[in-house]
This record gives sequence, structure tokens and C-alpha cells, in this order.
Amino acid sequence: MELKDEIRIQAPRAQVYAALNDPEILRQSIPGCESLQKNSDTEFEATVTSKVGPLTAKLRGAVTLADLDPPAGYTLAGEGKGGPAGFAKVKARVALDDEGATTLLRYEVKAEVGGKLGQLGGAIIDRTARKLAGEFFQQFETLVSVPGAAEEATVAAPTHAPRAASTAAVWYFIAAVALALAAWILLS
Amino acid sequence: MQTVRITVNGTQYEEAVPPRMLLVDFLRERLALTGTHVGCTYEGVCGACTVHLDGEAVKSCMLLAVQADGHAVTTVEGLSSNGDLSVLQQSFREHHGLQCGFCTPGILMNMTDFLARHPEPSDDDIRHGLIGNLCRCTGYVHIVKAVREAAKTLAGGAG
Amino acid sequence: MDITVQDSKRWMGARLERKEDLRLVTGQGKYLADIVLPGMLHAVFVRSEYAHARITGIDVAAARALPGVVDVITGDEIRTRVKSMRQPVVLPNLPAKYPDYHALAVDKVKFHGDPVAVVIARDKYVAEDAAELVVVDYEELPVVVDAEQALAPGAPRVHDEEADNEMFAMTFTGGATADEQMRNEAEVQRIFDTAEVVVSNRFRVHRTGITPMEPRGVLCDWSLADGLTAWITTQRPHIDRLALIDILEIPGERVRVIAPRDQGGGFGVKAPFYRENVVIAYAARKLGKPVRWIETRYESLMNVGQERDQINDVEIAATKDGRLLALRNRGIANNGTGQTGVYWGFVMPFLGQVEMPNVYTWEKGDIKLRVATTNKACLTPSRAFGHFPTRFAIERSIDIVARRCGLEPADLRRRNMVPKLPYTTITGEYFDSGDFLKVWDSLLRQIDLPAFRREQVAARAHGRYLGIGFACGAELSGVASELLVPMENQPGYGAATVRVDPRGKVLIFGGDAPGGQGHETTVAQVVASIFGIDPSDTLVTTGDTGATPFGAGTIGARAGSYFVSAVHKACAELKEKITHVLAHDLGVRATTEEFAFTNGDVIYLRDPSRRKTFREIVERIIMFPVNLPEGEVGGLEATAFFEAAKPMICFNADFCIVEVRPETGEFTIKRWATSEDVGNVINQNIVDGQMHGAIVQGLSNAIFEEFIYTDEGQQLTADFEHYKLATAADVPDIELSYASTPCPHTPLGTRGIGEGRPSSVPGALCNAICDALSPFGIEVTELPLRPSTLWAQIRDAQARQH
Repeated sequence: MELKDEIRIQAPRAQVYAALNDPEILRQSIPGCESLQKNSDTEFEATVTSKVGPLTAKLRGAVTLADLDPPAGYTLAGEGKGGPAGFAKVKARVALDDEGATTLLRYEVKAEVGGKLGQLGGAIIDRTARKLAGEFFQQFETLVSVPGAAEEATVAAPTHAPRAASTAAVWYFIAAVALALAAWILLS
Repeated sequence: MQTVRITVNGTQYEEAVPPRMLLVDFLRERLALTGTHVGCTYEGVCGACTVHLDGEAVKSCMLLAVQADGHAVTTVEGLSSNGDLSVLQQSFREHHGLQCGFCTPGILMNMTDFLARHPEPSDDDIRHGLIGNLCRCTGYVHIVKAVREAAKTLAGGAG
Repeated sequence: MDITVQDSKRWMGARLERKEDLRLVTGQGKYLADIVLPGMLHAVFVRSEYAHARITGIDVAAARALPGVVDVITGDEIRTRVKSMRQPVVLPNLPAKYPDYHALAVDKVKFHGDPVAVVIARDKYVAEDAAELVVVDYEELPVVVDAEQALAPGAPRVHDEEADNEMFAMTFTGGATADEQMRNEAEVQRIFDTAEVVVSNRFRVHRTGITPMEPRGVLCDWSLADGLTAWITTQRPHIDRLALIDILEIPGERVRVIAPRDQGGGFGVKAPFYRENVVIAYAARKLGKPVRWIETRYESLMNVGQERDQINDVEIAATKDGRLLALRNRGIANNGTGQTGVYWGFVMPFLGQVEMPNVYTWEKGDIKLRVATTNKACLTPSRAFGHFPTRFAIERSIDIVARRCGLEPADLRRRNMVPKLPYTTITGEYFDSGDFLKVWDSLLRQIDLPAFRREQVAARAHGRYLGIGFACGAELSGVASELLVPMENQPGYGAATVRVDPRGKVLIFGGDAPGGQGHETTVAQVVASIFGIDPSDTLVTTGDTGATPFGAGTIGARAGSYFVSAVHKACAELKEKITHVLAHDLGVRATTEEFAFTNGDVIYLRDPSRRKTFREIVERIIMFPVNLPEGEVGGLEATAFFEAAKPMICFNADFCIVEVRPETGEFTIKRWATSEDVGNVINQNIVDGQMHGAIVQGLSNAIFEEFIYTDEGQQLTADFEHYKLATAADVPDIELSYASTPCPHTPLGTRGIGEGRPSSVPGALCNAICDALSPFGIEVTELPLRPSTLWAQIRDAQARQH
């Protein structure tokens, strides 16, 4: 499965960076994300639980960064495992461009899906991935661009106060998208 | 658990069922009506589980038992009365419309409904009417013949 | 004697309504999933989502903790408690590298769907929930799914203990020794060097098979006193019993296997000995409770019913006037893991190469096969066992030769067809009897070929592309011990017990295990004809090893050849006893032939007033065994075994007419007609039904069905949405005709039919397509036949032509 798109986020690059660096904002943006944890500068872990109808499934995942070229481009490799339900391996390239008051985010994702997940068929996976990406960005943008929304998030989870901006935030973001993508496909 | 009242082959049953229980499991496991078969992974493709819900052919693997609450279900066991086979059942015997018989109950239920709606079907109509039932043994040739001949008999009987 | 002849005519060949059908049309069939035992537990397998991975850990704690879960069993437990699956009873006598494996995966998973653990619970739904809670940690390993890549040096190895992935290799021509084979190879090469016409093509047939509508299932009950009773969806209960005895190490008198009387099709898929049988039997013994597993369609499509998957590089040398000289083939089969008892995947492609020469007279042949293990599910038998791909390759090649020679393909076939039987082919296959030319000529009488050619030319002028395609093939009619012992390590004879009941009824017991073929009816017709009784006065019992004589099972078209012949033999023995006693009672000296069994009476033909009813005389022998002829004892029961001296065959030929729309590549089958040699017919309806089903299976395999694996070994076609079977609206009506020759080697002149029948279908279909598209010069060499592929070929051809 391949997914390629660009999204304009209604916030300056600096603010996007700040938000991307806030695990709590990311957690809230990713449908069903329970935890998001950084193990080292290049390794992350996350757990995503999703409910669709009567079904509940938990997907554990890890993301590793490579080909670091901050801030122009990056590659990441992620893998989410859902047991017998299947797995998803994701490779992504992402780039952020400053466009005045807004930020242009471009991404290119290649996903290999296996197990029952892979057997749902390309059309379903594709549709779900697009739906998921849409939901993520909608929520992310709300949290980033609407004044107060991010604060609320911070208030709601005071243990995750914003830290200094760093390029690693982008990895959180893509890792989370990859995992959520896998989780959602699993449950569709 | 949820209590359902379902009339099956003319008898009303009141049973407490888990909300996720499929109608086909309710029929097979609760009522021991094992003529309704499961041939695919509850995806509604093979048609072996076809029953009538209020007289209309439906796939019982695609319905929950709770969805049939308050409705009337007919299974293949309810097609014949007092040991007399229906015209369609008899036609399947006479024209060798079955081999292993696994898909047959679903086909009989679907085609009973079909013939009620299409009393004078062409072979092409019958073949299209059978799309929701997979058969691996017969190549469909004798099934089409059995339905065609049953339609003729039913028409003759009515006239 | 006329009376006997009339009577036998009455039931033999009749379109009798089947005895099976009353219960089947009223929903009273008893299939495996309909059998319930008190306290029965439900099993659900946990299967690998990876094609090749090391198992680094299995956490079953959460699954065990779920209320209602009774046990979770993994490969580590199975490995220490039961023997491996590689036991002599299920090993062919062919030289292959048989992988050792356990009923559940140990250390490694080797294909997507490999069973890793089994959950046993009191409720089916709970078992499914618990299976999702089993956490297996895998370390992924390099995957190999392509057969040629698997055979290349340095490929990832499917089985660590083997040096490479070549599981089996064989040369089928030239002789037994390597020297003889090399000499033969050189001689074949000389023919090719000087031949006027040489046609070389690579034929690929995808992975597909015959999927029965009823998936597999196992129900095992264990008692301390009686041991194991196992109900299995199986075509060969007696073999399954032996395998369970040997693998689980249970004394033989304590194992009984029952194939349910009603089975929802087999087609070869239920013929191997499977791992799930061992796991469920083990669980029942361990827990002391009945345990049942019903395969889901998902599991079925992941694990079984996958066959074909061959590449055949076929070369034909011929004269320019259309005489076939030599055949060379290099076959490669993609076996998957090779882990399936009895067949080990490679036995099918083995037989496929044996049947490669088909019914043509070749001066010489050079035929070799290599079988690769890969990270796919193991090949399992499917109707047209192994030769669906080779028959496609040879029948397509024949048409290509004809086109090269400028000859009508039908004429070229007839010219090179074996003119007189018996005949032994270049691969050593024995054709016992029949008349190929008679069948062929009968087929040709159903079409005015010159008129069709005129119509074809006229249609092309209007932009319509019509084509006609022919194909034919000889099929095994039952498999004799001569072939079955090496191929499957099992006897080929047919076995039947016939027990006459004092009330004048006849009970027949057979070790076969049918799945829709109508044994109860055909056997009833045979017995009724022999004893002059009504078919309704008989009862056929099959499938229960506790009640039936040992038999190799319902495989390879055995009913009409072997089983029925064994029944006949047992009946003949009883008839002799009945007439012996009757002659004694009547005070006459008479042979069996001087009595007629007709309309429920046994009549002394020299004085028809002297007679007894069948019931009177059998009751007298069974219940009142006094004043018998000297040396005779009471009772009327006989078990007989039938074995033909040599393998037997049946034969068929097809043609079809298609119309192809070049703008889309879509095609319509406008007509499908056949000619068959099935020997003497017992029940015409049943024979017709076998042919219809087989032909449509062939079409469905060729056009729609395909098991798809990604390069990572992910199987993407595990439901009927993605693995499409032909529906009624997808396939044509079929015109059958018969030009049979009675088989001289069976007592009734019958032949076993139906097993190999799908194999001529893809050739006939694709020959018709290529005939229609001959203005474009398109030759189909790969299956499945997809309109999109055809359209691309047509487009390319048009580009070349402009």
C-alpha cells in the first residue's frame, strides 16, 4: 500500500514543531493511541487500542529512525504487531516546509501489511488509511491552531508539559500515524 | 444475555442469547436445526446458511439472533410438511440437483423464494438467481434443470 | 436367461433417484459439524501470520485466564508427547527428502497459516476470543515463495536440516538407470536437431485447487476402556486410523475412525493425513473429554486445497505434415512446505509428469521434474491430481504445432492419437482398454467443423472473433496397487462386505468414504441387479473403520472401478451359495447359471414353476441352517477384494466455442460439448453430474480461482470474496455425449470416472480463445485466463501489426 499526500497546517512551522514535540497532543490526535514513549533519540514505542463495534484490539509498535537529514527530510521504519490479527510494516519519508504563517507537510508512506490485516484487500486498506490520515490531521490541526486547545490538552495531562522543539517530534508524529494506521486497518 | 422470541418453522421459541450470537448458530446449536450449513467464514458468500426471515431469503450467518427477535424464520427443515416434499425438493431429487448436499439447503431456501417471485424463469434468470449460492459438485447444470422443472410443475399445478 | 438380462437392464444405467437425497433435501444429513457429544469442548487453532519466522516465545497466560478456557497446547508440548508426523504409514515409496515436522509448529513457522497453538474451551466463541489472546513472538526469517528462486543456490532454506530446497527430482523417460536416461536424452536431442518443426513454450499454471463446500473437521472422543473414537472429514478413514495409531502410539484395537456418512465434498482435499487430526486426538486423550474442531473457510483457504502451481517448459518436435516425433519437458513444481502426510505435496506433480504424454504416440520423450519447497502452504491433492497443469501444457502445445504446420488442430490430434489399446506411453503409463478414435470421432460428429470455419471467417469480417478449441485426455480409473504402493504406500484393491439380512435385505459395507458421489445409490443398483431385488432393499455403510473392510479410500475414481467390482465379487459368491442350497432344497442338480434372480424371486430356469422368494431362501440359509447340502454351512455374508491386474483408464474429449471481444479481452463460452468413454454406466444421472461438476471446476480453476501470495509469503486470498469460485451465472450449460467401450477388466464393464475430468478443460478453453484470436497471433501459455491479460496481449499484437 502506498500513500502520498501533502497537508497545509494552519500554524507557523515553529508552532507545528512545538506541538509535534508534545506527546500528549500526538496521543490525542492519533485515534485510539494509549501511550507514546521515546526510548532513545531514534527509537519509539507506542500502544494503540481501537474499538470498532464490539471488537477491541491492541497493537504494539516500535519505530526506528534512519537517514536523518534535519530539517529537510527523514526516513523512518515502523512496525506494529497485533498478534494473529496481523501486522503492519511502514516506511515513510516526510518533509516540512515553512510557508509564512502556515506549514506544508509532505509525506510518502509505503506500508506492507500482513496476517488477516493484509487479507482484507487493497481497496479496504487504502480507504482506511486515507480516512485515518484525515482524522489525524483534523484533530492535530485543531489542537495546534485553535488557541487554547493545546493548553487544554496540556492541562488535561500536566505530566507531559511542552519541551523544547526538536526534529524528533516529527518521528513521534509519523510513528504514531503508522501505528494508528495499522490499528485502524486491523479493525475495519 | 438477551431474551429473544423467534418463531422457527411455526414454533415459537423464547431463548436467552448472548448479543453476539449469530442467527445460524442459534438455529444449529440452540434448536439443533443442523440443516442450515456454514460454508464460508460468515461473509455471506457461499449461501449454504440461507433461511427465510418473514418469508424472504436471507443469509443467517450475516444476522445476529437478536435481529430475528419478533420475526418468523423458516429453515430447510420447514420446507416439507408431514413428510411430503415440496415441489422444489422433489425436483432436486428427480433431476439429481445435488451431490454432496452441503449447499443444497441454502439453494432450496433461496430458490423457493425466487420461484415465488419469478414463476416463469428463463435459465438465465435461474442462473442469476443462484449467484448467492456456491456449489462445488454439480457445475450447476442439474440445479438449473431442477429449478426449471419445478417452475413448470408449479405452473401446471396452478393452472 | 432372458429374465435375468431384463432384470439387470432394469437397474443398470437407470436414472434412479438417489437414496442419499431424501435426507439431504430435508436438512437431515449428518455432516461432521452436526455431530455433538455431551460435554464436548471446542478447539480453535492459532496460526502464524508470518510465512517464515523463528518462534521466540509463546505467551498463553492471558488465553488460559479467560473463563471457559480449558487448555492451550503449543508445539513444545506436542513435540514431547506425540511422535512426529513423518511416520512410515504416510510415506510414499518414492525417493524424496521428506521433511520431519510436528502436528504444531516447533521452533519455526514455515508458511502463513502454520498452526502454532490450539485453544480448547467450553464454548466456541470463548475459544475464538482466547485464540486472539495468545501472544507469539516471532523473529522474521528470509522468505522464499518462487519455485525457481527456491531452487537457486543460496536461497533461504525452508527446512533447516536440508542442504537445499529441492525436495524431489525425477526423470520419467529412457529407463531406470542414469546411463540409460542420458542415452535417451541424447537420442531425443538428435530428433530435435533434425526436426522440421520445433515448438517450445513455457507454461505456467497458478496455484489453485478444488475447494469443497464443507471445510474440514475433527471430533475426537476418548475413553479409558475403548480408547479413541475419531470422526474425521476424510476420504480414507482406514489410513487415518493407522496414522493415528502410529503417531499417538495407541494400540490398534483402541482406535476407531469414522468418516461421517454425509460429507460436503472431498475432491482430494480430504485425502491426506492432516496435523489437526493428531492435535485434536491428543487433546481429547489428555483432557478425557470430547474435543471438536471445525475448520473455518479462512483456515481452509490458508491451508488446504492448493494445487497446480507448476511451470512446464515443453518442447515438441514434429514433421511439417503434423506427425509428432518427440516430447521434451522440464517441469518445476512449487510444493510449499511439503508437510502433508500421504502426498507430501510432490506426489501430485509426480503423477502430472507421468501423464504428460497424454494419448499421443511419441517416438521418444525426455521428461524431468524438479519439486521445490517454498514458504507456501503444502500442495494438497485436488481433482485432476497433478495433471491439470501438464494437460494444459500438452493440449496447448498440440494446437501451437498444428498452427505452425497449417493444420486443423482436431485433425492433428486424431492423426497422432494412440490407435489401439492396450498401450504403454513413453513415461510408462499403461492404457488398458477403450477406443480413443471412436470417442474422438463421436465428438467431431457434434460439430460441422467446415461450416464453423466458414462462420468464423464471416464473423471476423464483422469484427467478431469466434474460436473453437479441442482437448482430450485419458484418466486413471481407480489406481491399481502397482501404482498406489509406490506412490502412496497403500494397497489399491477395492473391498466390500455384503451381508444378506434374513428379511431379504442386503447390507453392504465399504471402506471408502464418499463425499457426494452417490455410492449408496450406485451400489444399490448393482446389488439389486444381481439379486433381482429393489434398490430400496439395500443399505450401504461406508466410512466406519469399526464396521467396514479395509480399503484405501474414496480416491482416484475408485467407486465405479474398484468398489463396485468388489461388491459384485462378494455378491457372486453369495449367489453361488444361495443357488447351491436352493438346488438342494428343490432336489435338482443345477448350476448357479440355471437360476434367475428376478423381481424378488429365485427361479429354476428349467422349470420356472420351481422357485422361492429371495427372502424365503436367504432366511432359510441364515436362520434355519439344517438339512443343508453336504459341506455347506449357514449364514450369508461375504467379503471380497477386487484388484485389476493392470491400471485402468477412462477417456474424454471436449470442444468449446467462444467469442472474444478484442476491445476488452472479455470472452463468452457459447458452447461446451463432450464425448466420453465411461464404460458401462450404472446410474446415468450420477455420471452426468460428475462430468458437469468436473468441467465447471476446470473452468473455475482456469478463469477465476487463484491463491495469491506476496513476495513476503503473505497469502491474500483467504475468503470467498478474494478466492472466487464460479457461480451459476459464470458458466455455460454443458452438452454431454457418450461413446463408451465396456471395460474388459471389471466384472460389470464399468470404469471409474470423474477424478481427472477437469484436466482437459483449460486446454480446450484456451485453444478456443487462441483460435478466435489467431489473427493477432496470440498464444496463451499462462493461467489463470484473465480478460485483462488477454486485452494487453491483443493491444500489443495490434501495436506490432501497425
